[in-house]
Amino acid sequence: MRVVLAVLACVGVAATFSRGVALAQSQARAGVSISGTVTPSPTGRIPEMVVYLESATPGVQFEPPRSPIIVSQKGAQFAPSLIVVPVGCTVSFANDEDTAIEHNVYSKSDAKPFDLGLYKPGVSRDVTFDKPGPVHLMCSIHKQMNGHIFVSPTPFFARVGTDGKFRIENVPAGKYELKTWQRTPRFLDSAQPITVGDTPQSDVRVELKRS
Amino acid sequence: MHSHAAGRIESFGRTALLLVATAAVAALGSGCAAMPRPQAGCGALRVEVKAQPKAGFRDAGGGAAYGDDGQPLVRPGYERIDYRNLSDIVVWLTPSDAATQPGDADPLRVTVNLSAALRADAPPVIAVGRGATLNVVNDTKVAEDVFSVTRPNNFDLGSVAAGNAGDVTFNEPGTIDLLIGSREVPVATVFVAPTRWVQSVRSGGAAAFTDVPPGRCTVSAWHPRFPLATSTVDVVVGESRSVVLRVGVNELPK
Repeated sequence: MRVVLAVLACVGVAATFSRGVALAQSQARAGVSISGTVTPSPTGRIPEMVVYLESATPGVQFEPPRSPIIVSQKGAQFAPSLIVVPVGCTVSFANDEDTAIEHNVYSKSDAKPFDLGLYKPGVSRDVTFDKPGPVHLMCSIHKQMNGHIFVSPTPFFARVGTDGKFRIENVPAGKYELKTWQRTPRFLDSAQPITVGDTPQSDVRVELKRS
Repeated sequence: MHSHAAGRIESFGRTALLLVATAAVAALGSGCAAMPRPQAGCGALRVEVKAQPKAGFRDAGGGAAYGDDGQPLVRPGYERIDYRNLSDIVVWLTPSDAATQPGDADPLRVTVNLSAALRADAPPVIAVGRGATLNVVNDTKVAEDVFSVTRPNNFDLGSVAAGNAGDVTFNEPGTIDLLIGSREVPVATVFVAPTRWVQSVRSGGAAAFTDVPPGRCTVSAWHPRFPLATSTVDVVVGESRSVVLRVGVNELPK
């Protein structure tokens, strides 16, 4: 009887321990934050830009968002005019004009060339972005319509503030490349290796240069 | 009396024949001038470019822009692309057997004046062949940093004083955004074609090339807004050929 109780106690302890380990692992999978500053050289205004992580392990995939992101075309303007999405995300282009104005959203960008055709107000058409890279949005009718989608290879990205600060949340441990993309490039885009562990990083420096 | 009348008829007949002959020569002459004449040992190509709106769209035509409800739209942001007058379409040839080395570009040197580029409604497109040199003239009143970060042709001329100029040579094909320090957006786009056979045209216009090597040749057209349009043609020594390229969105995947 005492042996049975001892065995049961050991099993209980082992179960508790392994559950604790599993919890710790799940918390680690939730990820840490990576934050830092972009510094241009020569000094100047920070362009509209994104920092993002690309996994150093080929073939790693992440679950895309389930709901589409909506882009308005009211007033012959893409709103938001710049969005950043992970690979696999769907964007819904809504013609939400108040008057009878057709639009024809298209892109000739390598990451996703497409043509949604002509459609009237009240209609939305979807595009799923299945390759990373920049996508320049235009309308074949209205010359002022100009938007961008940056498709990140992972869900780990952030817009850079006008002060150069950025913060990427929930990054799982692993080896990555931290890269930049600018909407209207004024510096060479950069790439630097970064290893993410179990503790947040708050002092990552990204230098942007012209040459 | 009879001989006088006969004389007038004969004179009228000669005049009529002369008029017809003159018209025929004029017609033939105009047809020959439209097609470029090949240089010795080469073929010639005339590349006509047509920019086309989305199939099925009613083009309001030049002048005021109209909404689909027939009302004129003069609000900013609703201006339409004028396909009939679309400029900055770059046409170039890639002959299958020709190897263009840097330094073969024609013209070898192209100048851009910053003041003119800054006044344009949109960044002008400057079409050059591989190996050409761009001479950037700062004819403004202030010094400007002149540079580009478009790889692989990125460069940095540093500060170019007012009244001065700087040169940069482009050895790789591609598009280059020309930047200056005081402006957030590019002041010009340089298109470097992979060969020396390159021209810039407007929609409805044509590029003429008279020194094209014989053999199969790929003809391409590029515009900042639209996907690449291409066609192939066989070039024959001593002959002139014509190609039409259509630029627009109608060939994009749906």
